[in-house]
Amino acid sequence: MHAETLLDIAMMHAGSLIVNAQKGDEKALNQLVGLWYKRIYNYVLKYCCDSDLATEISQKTFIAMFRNVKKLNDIDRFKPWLYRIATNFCHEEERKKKRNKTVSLTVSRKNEETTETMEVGQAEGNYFNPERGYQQLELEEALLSALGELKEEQRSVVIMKEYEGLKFKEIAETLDTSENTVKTRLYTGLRNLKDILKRNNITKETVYYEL
Amino acid sequence: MSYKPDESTLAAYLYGELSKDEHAQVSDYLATHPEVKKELEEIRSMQKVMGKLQDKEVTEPSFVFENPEVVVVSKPAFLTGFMKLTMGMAASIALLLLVGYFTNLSISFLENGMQLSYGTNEKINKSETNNFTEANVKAWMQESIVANNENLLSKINEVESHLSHEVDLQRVTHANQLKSLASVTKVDQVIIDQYVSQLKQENKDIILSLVEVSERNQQQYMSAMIADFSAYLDQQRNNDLEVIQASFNNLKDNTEISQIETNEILASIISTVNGAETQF
Repeated sequence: MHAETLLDIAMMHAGSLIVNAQKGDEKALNQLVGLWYKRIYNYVLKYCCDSDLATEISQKTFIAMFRNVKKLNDIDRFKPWLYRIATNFCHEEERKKKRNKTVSLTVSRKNEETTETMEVGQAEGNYFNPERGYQQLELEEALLSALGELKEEQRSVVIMKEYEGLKFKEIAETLDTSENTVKTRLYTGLRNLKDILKRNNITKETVYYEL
Repeated sequence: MSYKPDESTLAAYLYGELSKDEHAQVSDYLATHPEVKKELEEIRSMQKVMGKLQDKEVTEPSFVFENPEVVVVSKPAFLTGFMKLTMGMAASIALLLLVGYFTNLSISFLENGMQLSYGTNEKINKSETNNFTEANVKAWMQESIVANNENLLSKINEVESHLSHEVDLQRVTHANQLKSLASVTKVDQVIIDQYVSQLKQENKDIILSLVEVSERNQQQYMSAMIADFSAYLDQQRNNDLEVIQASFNNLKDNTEISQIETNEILASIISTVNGAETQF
C-alpha cells in the first residue's frame, strides 16, 4: 500500500494496536475499527455493488474481528486476515443472491437523492449515450456494475490489487491460493473488464472528454 | 523467439513487479508482438478509467463495541438455527415427560425392547410376541388367504343373487308395461272409430245446414230479383205510355196550328179575291 494519507501510515504501523487488541483492550479494538472501516467498506461495496449490503457486511466483518483477533498468530498477517473475513462474507452473500435470482433485475441507485431505478442493462447497454455527458456519479455506477459483471474470483483479485493496493502475496494469503493463480486471475479479470467497458462504450476518450 | 510470457507474468509486468531481466524479456517480446502490446495498452487505459471510481466516505458503525463479550451477547447463541432445533427437541421431550408424570408414565426395558406406556401398564407377553416362526407365519397367511377367499366367494354369491333378483324384477315390470301398452292400443281403436263417426256426423250436419242456408238465400235472392223485374217492367210501361201521350199531344198541337194557318190562308185568299172584283 502506498502511504498517501496519515491514515495509511497509521495502518502500516498498527502492530502495537493489534497486540493490545489481542489482549482485550477495548480502546485498541475501537481504534482498529477506525483505521480499517473505510477500507473494508469500500472493498465490500465494490464487491457487491450495494451500499446497504456493504454496511451490513462491514459490520459483520468487524464483529468477527472482535471475536477472533486473539486467534491471530502473526500480527503482520492482520491485513490479509481481515480481507479474508470480508471476502468470505461477500462470497456468502453472492451465493444467497444466486439462490434468489428472481428477486430483482433492477438496481436502485441508493446514493442518489432521487429514488429512480434503472435497469442494469440500460446503464450498460446501447441506451446509455456517453455523448450526453457523464456525471461522476453515473460513471461510478457504470464502473461498479462493470465490476459486478466479472466472475467473483476475478472481481475480488482486481479490487484488492487495483483499489486496495494489496501485494500479490497478501492477496494470495487472503484467498488461500498461490501467487501465480492470483496473477493469472488478475490478468484475466483486467482483460475482461477492459472488454466490458469497451462494449459499454466507456473508454478513456469518452470519459476524459466529458469530465 | 520461443519465449511467450504467460498471463501471470503479464500481470506482474503491468504492476512493475518483475525483476529487471524478466522485465526486459517481456519488453522485447512486446516489441515483436504488437497485438499483445496493444492489449496491455488498452488495459492500462482502462485502469485509468477505473481510477475514476473513488472511495466512498463512510462513517464508522453507529453501534459501539465495548468489548468482545458484549458483541457475543448482542448476538445470542440460541438465535442460531441449530440451537433453536436442539432447544425445541429438548422442550418437547420435557413436555412428554411432564405429561407422563401426570398420566402414570412407565418406561420398562423388556427382553424384546423398550416399552414406553401411559396409564395402566400391561406387560407384553413374551410368548405372544415370540412365536413368529416361519411355519406359524405360513399357517397364518394360509388362514388369512382362505378366510379372504371365503369372504370373497360369499360376497360374489350375494352380488349374483341380488343381480338375478333385480333382473327378474325388471322382466316382470317390462311384461306389465307391454300388456298395458296392448290394451291401450285397443282402446285407441274404439276411440278413433268414435271420433271418425263423430266427425262424419258433424260434417254431414254442417253440409246440410250449409245447403239449407244457401237455398234460402237463393230463394230470397230470386224472389227479390223477380220483384225487381216486375217493378222495372211497370216503370218501363209507364214511361212508354207517357211518351205516347206526349207524342199525341204534339200531334194535336201541330194539327191545331195547321188548321189555324189554313184558316188564315183562306181568309187572305178570300180578301184578295174580293178586292180585285171591286177594281174592275
